[in-house]
Amino acid sequence: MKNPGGWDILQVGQGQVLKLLATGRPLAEVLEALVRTLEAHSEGMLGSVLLLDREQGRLRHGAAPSLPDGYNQAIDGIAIGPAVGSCGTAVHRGARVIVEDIHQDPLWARFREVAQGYGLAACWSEPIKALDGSVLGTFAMYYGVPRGPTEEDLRVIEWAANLAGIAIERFQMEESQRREQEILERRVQERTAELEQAQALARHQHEELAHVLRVSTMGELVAELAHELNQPLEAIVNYAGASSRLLDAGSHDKVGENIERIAEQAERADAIIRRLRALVRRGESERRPLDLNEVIAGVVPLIETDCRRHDISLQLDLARDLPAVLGDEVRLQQALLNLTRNAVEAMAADGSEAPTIRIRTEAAGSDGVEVSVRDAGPGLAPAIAERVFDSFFTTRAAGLGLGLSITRTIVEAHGGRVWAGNEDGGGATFRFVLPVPTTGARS
Amino acid sequence: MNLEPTVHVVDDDPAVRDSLLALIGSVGLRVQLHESARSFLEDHDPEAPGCLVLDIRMKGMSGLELQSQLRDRGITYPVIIVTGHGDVPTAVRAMREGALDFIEKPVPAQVLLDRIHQALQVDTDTRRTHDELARRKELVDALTPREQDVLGLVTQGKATKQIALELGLKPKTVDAHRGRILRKLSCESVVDLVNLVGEIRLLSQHLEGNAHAVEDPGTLTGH
Repeated sequence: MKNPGGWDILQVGQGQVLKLLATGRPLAEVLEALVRTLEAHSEGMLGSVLLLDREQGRLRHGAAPSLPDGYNQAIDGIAIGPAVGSCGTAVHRGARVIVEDIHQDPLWARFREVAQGYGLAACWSEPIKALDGSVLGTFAMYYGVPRGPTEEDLRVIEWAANLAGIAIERFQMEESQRREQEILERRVQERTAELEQAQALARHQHEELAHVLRVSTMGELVAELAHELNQPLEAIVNYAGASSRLLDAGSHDKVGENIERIAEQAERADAIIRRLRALVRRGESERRPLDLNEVIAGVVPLIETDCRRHDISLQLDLARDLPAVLGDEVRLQQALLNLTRNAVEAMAADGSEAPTIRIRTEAAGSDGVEVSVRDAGPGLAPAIAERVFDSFFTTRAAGLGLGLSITRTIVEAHGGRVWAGNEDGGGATFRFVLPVPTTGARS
Repeated sequence: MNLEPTVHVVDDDPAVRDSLLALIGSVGLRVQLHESARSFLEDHDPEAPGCLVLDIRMKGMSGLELQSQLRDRGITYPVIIVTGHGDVPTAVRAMREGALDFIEKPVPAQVLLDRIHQALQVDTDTRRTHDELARRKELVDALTPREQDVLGLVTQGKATKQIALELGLKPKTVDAHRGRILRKLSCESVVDLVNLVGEIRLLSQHLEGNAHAVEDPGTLTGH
């Protein structure tokens, strides 16, 4: 038979196939274009590409646009082997299999009837190989009459298998790239989730610390206690009320349940009280040798947050080799926080232009260690400077005026003293000094 | 659609919710629980009569925000506010927003139940009034525009001749209109007509009165 158009048709077809491949079209579409190209070149030929499922050892439908659907379905999933038509055998041998007459050839013994039922008489199959030589599938040419291939036919079928191999390998590579991408993305997501969890935990602990520091005065603890206890107490009152009304009405239904709930809520109330009692105990003084720089470092994040909220810049000027003081870390942190809070409020109210807080530590000789908090606010009027550490003294509309007096209480409980004064350059400095134990303990 | 009066409990603490269900249920009232103001707005059936028992402090939409939402949506359930200890300023604001009453935690059971019964009564009352008003209004709306004109003047006590003059009609026409009005509104005399229009006015006022219901300021409860 003549091959109309010759290699030109194949070249044009190749171009089309490669373009489809490059534009990411599905593999089935690419292979179909390939088969049609070849059918256009070889008159009377019906082409088919089958893909090898290596795991299962079966051939699956790739593209066969001109073969009858029934036939394609019949051979889809066929297991490869030494005598399985042309394609199954070709994969098994890893070499081309030419069957000139399906009716006669032993390789087609099992499938002779099926093939003939669909009018197929000859089948040439070329294995499609990857670059490494492994088999990816087959390219087959079918004819309606028995015939053998010419030299030209063999060149063409080799060419076709080659092109099919390029397409399939490229597709597989992209698939595995896509899968790797997914794995990577999933790993990134997991890592992000872990990070977020860690952040949330850090934030939570931050809040807990701020909370503990806030409620370390007795009055606040009591208020906290009362508020939290309201819930279980209310529940108990309700359950008890419900039970007595039910019993009055002569019903025992649900009374048992209600009583269990009462017990649960009493437990809950007990747990709250226990927790708060532990907090109080923690709030009681523990004296340990402390490096004030480290104590300060512990609450710098909190102070920074406060500062950031008001666009205040925070400076630390911490002396090296500070002698250790004996004290309660949490209490001292609160004392400091009250000073920084005060500084923030002074500047916020004032609308200072370059709001700054400077925290400084330095050794103060026989007096011990001095900590100072300096702000860039309006400073203290002389009448105020004397009273600023008094309880309930406040120059502001909001707040009870307890913060600075708490600082004084804490510092004096540590054997130190606290005072405040104005700076020449503007702003005020609040200082406290803590004694260093004379036994010469070093941190 | 269940038309049994329902007590809506809105509280974010599960134990409190469940215990209120037990208590209010123990006197045979129907209860619906809501864990947040938002879920109440989504889940309740506005057709059914009821009232709200609301914890003023909740995460998410607060009790006060819910009250203004209720007003915006025209939801008229009477609201009983439950507040935490010492939260008087908030409670006062809640009252001004139209709450029926506020009670401090922990709430004595009988006080709560009494308030709930009161609230349900107010709500049933309001709804009945609403329905009556609607019924009467329907009757009047069924009149033709001309008949409504005549009705207006008739209930002002004007005589046929006067009405005929004002509306530019023949006296006989006015009489005919009046006859039809009496028939349509099932009234036997002009006196009945005047009463009907008066009732419509009264019911409207009553509904407005209920919207700001503080039945008796003296019942603000402490304990």
